[in-house]
Amino acid sequence: MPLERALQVSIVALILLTVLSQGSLLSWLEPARKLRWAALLVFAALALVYALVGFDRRRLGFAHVGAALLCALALASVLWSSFPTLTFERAAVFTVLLVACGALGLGVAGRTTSTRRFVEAIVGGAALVALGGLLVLAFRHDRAVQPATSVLAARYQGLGGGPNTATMVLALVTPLAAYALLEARRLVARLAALAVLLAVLGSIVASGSRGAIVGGFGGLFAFAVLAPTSMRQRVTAAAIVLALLVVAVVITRIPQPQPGAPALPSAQEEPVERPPGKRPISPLDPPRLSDDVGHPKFGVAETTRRPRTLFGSSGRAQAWEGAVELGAERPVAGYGFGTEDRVFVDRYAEFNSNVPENSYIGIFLQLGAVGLAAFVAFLAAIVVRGAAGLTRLAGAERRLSAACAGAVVGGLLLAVFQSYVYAVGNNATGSLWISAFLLAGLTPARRRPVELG
Amino acid sequence: MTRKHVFVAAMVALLAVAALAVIGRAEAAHRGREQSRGIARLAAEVGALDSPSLDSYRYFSADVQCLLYRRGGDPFALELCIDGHGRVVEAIDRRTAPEPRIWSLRDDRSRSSVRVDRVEVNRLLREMGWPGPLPPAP
Repeated sequence: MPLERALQVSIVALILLTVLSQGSLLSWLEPARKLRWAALLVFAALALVYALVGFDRRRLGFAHVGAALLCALALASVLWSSFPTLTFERAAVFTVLLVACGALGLGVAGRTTSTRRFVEAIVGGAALVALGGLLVLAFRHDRAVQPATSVLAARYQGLGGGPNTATMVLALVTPLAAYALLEARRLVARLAALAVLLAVLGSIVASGSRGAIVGGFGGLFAFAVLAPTSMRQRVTAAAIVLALLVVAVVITRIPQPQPGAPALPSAQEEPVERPPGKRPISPLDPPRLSDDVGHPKFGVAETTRRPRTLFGSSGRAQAWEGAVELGAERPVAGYGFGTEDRVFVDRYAEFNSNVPENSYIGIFLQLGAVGLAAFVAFLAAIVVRGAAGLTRLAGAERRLSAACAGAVVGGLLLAVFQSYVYAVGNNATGSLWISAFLLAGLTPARRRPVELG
Repeated sequence: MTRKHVFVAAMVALLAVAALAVIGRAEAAHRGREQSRGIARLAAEVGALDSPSLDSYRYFSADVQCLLYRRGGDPFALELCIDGHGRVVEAIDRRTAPEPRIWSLRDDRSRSSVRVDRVEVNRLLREMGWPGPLPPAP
């Protein structure tokens, strides 16, 4: 029990520090960047001890073998990486995370009460993130809200460094927070859980982050469909989630761009000093390399306004196409694990990121078709096995398993919009893998296992 | 699972990794040749670095600078980016904008087989007025 409490604290710390390390409070960035690795190591050490206490080899299963293969593939890519040192460092950190999550899954295998404690820890971490965002809103409004521009409405970012940052972990946690609300028995606990769910959903909606909305509500939908045992309950729960989604989308359309607003500092070009030399050059600055693709020919004015729309891709479609073409230049084995932000170059006029913002394309760039197939097959197998195993579960155990499955489904949907699944420093990565291994630990074998806890 | 099964599975995994390493390295080499071919074509089209169509420069980083050449009315139509070793690591043809043709080995510079005289690059950058430090010529 003390070990489980320590693990809970380490999970909360890991979530909070990873958000702060990419957060809106600039003076906290550096300390948080260092501390998040310490939090990961503490979490890994505690999880290993937890797994070793009462270690039973028979609990090692598909998830552990699959994770070992993923780590082996990531580490082996040092052999063909364009950046071998970077690949080794990032693959090693990824291995630490998967070993920690695998050990946690091993320790809780079949123990509902313990699993629930770790789910509560993830929800607790996200609750602090949501609450922290509200505090930033109250005391540093300028840091909590990205101001409106001529094409973008104002967007809430809370504790995150941007509207799409902290909302990633919040999206993933949405089904877990809903589960915590359903399971709370005492009035105070129920009110606290309701407040957390509202803060999580409110932060996502106020951010206008489409990836977080799809991930959060997608995960919630999966939970709504998987948790109930009767068809009628399923249909009702799914209808409620869809109605909530419609309301959320409508709310995101309320804030409007301000036609007269100045451009964000990040969108303004830095003036280039060009002192005259003895050889005359063009008086104009060359086009930005980050705007090459999609920029009209020299002398042709760009007059199209491109406001952010509900189904617009924010330039992602262009960047994805370019990233896939880049990946196709090394299609089987890729450029090496952890090299995504070095290999991908933002050359796209409508796009602004140093990664393609799609985990599937990101893994294709890093480990080629082999790596993409391995990652997708592994995570999909965990969800499918978990969903299939639900038929052999009932009551609280079933709801817990469904909540973890919802978190993984939400994470996989979020992965369509964000490059993060393999990036350990990202705030949502730890929660995704912990949820995946908790789900694997809850998934019963074909025959009903003996209750160990 | 018996020990024999584990041993066989480990051997299969090891062989798969070895095969993947061979494929990965072959892919990197193939890409290096393909991109170098595109870079070489554009460099040939530019001709002498000191051509009269040289119309601008870009200080990309301390190690990589680019020379831009005019074609028609576009002063930035062709661009060659050169690293400190004189390797041309990127070439851009903007005549097809908004879909420019780009060949790049920015992430794998050592595979570029196209070399230019770094001393001359530095001289041109100075002549165009670049006041800052430049990589020492090899």
